[in-house]
Amino acid sequence: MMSPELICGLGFLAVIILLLARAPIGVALGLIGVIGLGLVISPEAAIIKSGVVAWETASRYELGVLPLFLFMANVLFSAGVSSLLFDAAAKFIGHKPGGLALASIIGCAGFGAVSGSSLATAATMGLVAVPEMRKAGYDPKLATGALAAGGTLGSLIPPSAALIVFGVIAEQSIRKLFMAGIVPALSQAALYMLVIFLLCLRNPALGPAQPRANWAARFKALRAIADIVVLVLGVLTGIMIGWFTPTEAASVGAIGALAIAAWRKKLSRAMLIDALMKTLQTAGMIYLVIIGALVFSAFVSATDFAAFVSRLVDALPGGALGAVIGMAVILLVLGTFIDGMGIMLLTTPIFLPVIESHGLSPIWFGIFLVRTMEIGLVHPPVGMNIYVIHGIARDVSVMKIFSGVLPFLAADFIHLALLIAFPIIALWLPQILGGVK
Amino acid sequence: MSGRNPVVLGLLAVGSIGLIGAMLVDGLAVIGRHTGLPLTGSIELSQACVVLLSSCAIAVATLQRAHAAVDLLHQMLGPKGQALMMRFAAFLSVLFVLALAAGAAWLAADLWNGDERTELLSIPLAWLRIVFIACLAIAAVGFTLQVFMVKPSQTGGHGE
Repeated sequence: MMSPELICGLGFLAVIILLLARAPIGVALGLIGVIGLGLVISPEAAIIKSGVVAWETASRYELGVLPLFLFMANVLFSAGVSSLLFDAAAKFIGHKPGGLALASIIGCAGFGAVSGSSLATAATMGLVAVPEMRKAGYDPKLATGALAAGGTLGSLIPPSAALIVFGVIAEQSIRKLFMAGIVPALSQAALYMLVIFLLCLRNPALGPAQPRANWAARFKALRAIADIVVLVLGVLTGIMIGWFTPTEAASVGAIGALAIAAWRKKLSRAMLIDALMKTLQTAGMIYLVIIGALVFSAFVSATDFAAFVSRLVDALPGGALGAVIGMAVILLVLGTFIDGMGIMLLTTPIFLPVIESHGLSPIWFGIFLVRTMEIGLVHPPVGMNIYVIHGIARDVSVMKIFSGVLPFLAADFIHLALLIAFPIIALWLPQILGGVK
Repeated sequence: MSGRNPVVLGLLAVGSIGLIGAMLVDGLAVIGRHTGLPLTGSIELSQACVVLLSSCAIAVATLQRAHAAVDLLHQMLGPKGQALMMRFAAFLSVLFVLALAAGAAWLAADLWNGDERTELLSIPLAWLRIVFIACLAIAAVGFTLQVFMVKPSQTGGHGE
């Protein structure tokens, strides 16, 4: 008779095998969860538990935040937000060496605040900024590397789909997670911009300076994004100061996005149906992933495997710091062959109790986890953002994009180390506004 | 399946009603709260809309083959290997979705005589459970069709 811990360990292995066999992420986690629960408790209990989890997830009011923010993003995307954000940033700093690359990072941060997704940010901003940079004579490695890395900002800048999913599976406040994501995302963007500045300082030919835009053109570009900036800032501020819950904020944001699209004369029946269809597709994909992860989490809880891993991690030298570094290494290794969402859902049920046992903040852990997950988006061999950008710039090889990302990857590791050494980077804002200790 | 498939269009219609309904109810709730005219039972109404939305979304994502998957090994295989792998993944998906549907149906059957309703507005939850189970059943059929009708050109794996 196998011990529950051994069954759970084999379950992890089986999930990885199923993921590599291209089973949908939610299916890989959920199916092993059902089978595992069947072995550890009983088949009847496994079926009932999976039914309970599925219904509770599908009927969870708080999770409505996700499709509503997705809808807001899809409507704004149809209204042409991405090109306007890049254009405004380029008007202000395009005349500096590497200015368009700097503008693309600002554009990514801005679009991340609308889309909540790294892949969407990389794809959308890439379509706008990469051709512009290529046309301006930018080094292809710098142009593509900046976009691949900049796209990852979408995972951390609120409203972030990854933070919403983490909040649901870890039972943490989405509002506090959003607050915690702001400073790390802004410091990450600042580090990327520093990388571009230093690269172009060393070799200005990498990003030739463009003609300076006059102030009239700058103000015109700013006016073109004013309504979107007001909407995004209004939604985020409203959440932070308690005007509305995240779900209500998403609804207000979606209504505002529809109003902006109508004001800009972009709202049509075809556009609305397209936005609704894309929203339902992405939301359905994420719902199945969450259901699968929660069933798997129930299986892990039933086996005491978390306590087993906790004992192993406790045996590492360095106490809490050693434990966190150990987790970061495991997450980065897993990130070489499993994508970010899979890693988050696979490891949260195990690592979260360890974090809590060391007295660390689960809110900080959410940011740490998403930050580590972001790194997986740009490092080989999975590095989804690399392939997204390659799809846009077909003539730039994947290897060239990878080498263009390397300086940004170095900045990522520095940023991750800072986040581990100084958790206050994530916790400062929630401590001030959200009562997090 | 294309976007013109009547089943997809039906799901899109019901899911959109859920999405726009949740959006409007929450929007009215915010306005009501800040103007001293609170909307009683807004969370219950919104929750009902979320059930329609999430149920249809799962089915739509399945019929449109939009579920996130890891493509690492898949990309290394030839067309036959890819097709086999996709059939296997679809078969596993059928099993999982059927397990969810069976569990949800079991609970719905157990609670049927209890006339389960929400507290403030007495919205009957049994019917929402039926919608959810029906959408899981549609997803199971969708995955089953994918076992037999593999389109090697459709990879679409991502997971963000």
